[in-house]
Amino acid sequence: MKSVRIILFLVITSSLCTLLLAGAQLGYEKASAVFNVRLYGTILELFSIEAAEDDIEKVFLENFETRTIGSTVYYISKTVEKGSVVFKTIGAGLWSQIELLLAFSPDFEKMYGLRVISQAETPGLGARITEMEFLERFRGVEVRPELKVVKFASRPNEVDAITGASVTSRSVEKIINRGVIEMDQAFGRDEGEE
Amino acid sequence: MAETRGLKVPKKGYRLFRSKDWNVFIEGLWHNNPIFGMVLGLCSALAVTNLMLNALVMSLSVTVVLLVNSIIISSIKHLIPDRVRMIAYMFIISSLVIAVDLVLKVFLPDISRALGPYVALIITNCIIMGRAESFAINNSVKLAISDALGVGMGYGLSLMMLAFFRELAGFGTLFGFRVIPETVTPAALLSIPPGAFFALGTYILVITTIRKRGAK
Repeated sequence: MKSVRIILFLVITSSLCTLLLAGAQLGYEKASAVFNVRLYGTILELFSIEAAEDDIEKVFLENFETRTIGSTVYYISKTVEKGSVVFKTIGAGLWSQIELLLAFSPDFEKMYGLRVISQAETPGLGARITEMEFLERFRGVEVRPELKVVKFASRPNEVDAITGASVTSRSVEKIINRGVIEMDQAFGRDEGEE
Repeated sequence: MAETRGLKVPKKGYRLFRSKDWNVFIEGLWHNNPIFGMVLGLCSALAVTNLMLNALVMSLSVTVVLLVNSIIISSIKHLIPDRVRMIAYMFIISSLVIAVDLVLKVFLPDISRALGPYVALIITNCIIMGRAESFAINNSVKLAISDALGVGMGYGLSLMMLAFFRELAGFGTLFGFRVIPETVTPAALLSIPPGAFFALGTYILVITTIRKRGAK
């Protein structure tokens, strides 16, 4: 009889806890729509599209088409730089993961832009990848045969690295190049020559 | 009444100071303080005290979980079968912590990111399990609330104290506001994890000395 009571108690407690957690998860999913709006805001800013705080979602949906291929969500521009592809990707940095937002030109040959969504690199060194000055270096850089982050950029597919943050710079390079391959596969484009 | 047995309740003074609840509260805040009294839950105390804001959010999270858990445990104490009481604590604590973690993720995403895994690790924080096992399971809801508030605030104040010195010395700021001009080189040692050990050790040493003096 005693063990029956114990089992009954555990079943009831665990069901109650499961219910509570299910409720919390539902609430969380609803609230995380806010995160989407924040992402939309970043993309609009990247494409220099003006939008008021309250209309971000509306303006975004007017300008971009959402397409899910595999597990990645791609946003395709319908207006500015028509056909440009934007997506989020994640990779290892020096200390933690780096989450990047990549935008590519319609012909998939050049980067349209780059933004950092989250990172935890060394403050003052690697963390400088979030500075506009660094991010804007990626505008219009060629990604074929591959993008390179180097000391002195001289070719159209090269970008200046951050001094004193070689590991972080190389991580960004690696994440972008992997993003290009993923995008090629998703859109059924043949890999670049060479 | 395991813990209230040794409790000294003064006979004189204001009614509030003679009440059992008040003395249980003070007991948790000072004699049973998790950081320098029981020396429990240090892992999170070391990790999140580099900035005052992080320490504040962490202490609030712990206090909320501790309080709700103590209320639940003390009100269903007659229902919990003795043999599975630990499992029951774990169920309740983990549900509460996951809920708190989600709330932080939604409302304070930046701080939630800074605290990293430490919010989720409240599940294994010995303070909460310890208070449930040594106090809430044996006492009335009213006393359990006093105890949870006392211990929670004791934990919070200790964390804030540590964070105050670590942020001031390590970054020259308090709650992100600059206090020491930027021209002064900050003692970066205090803002990194090894510095936390030095700060915590010194803190416990100072408080223990004061407590010994008081006891004499």
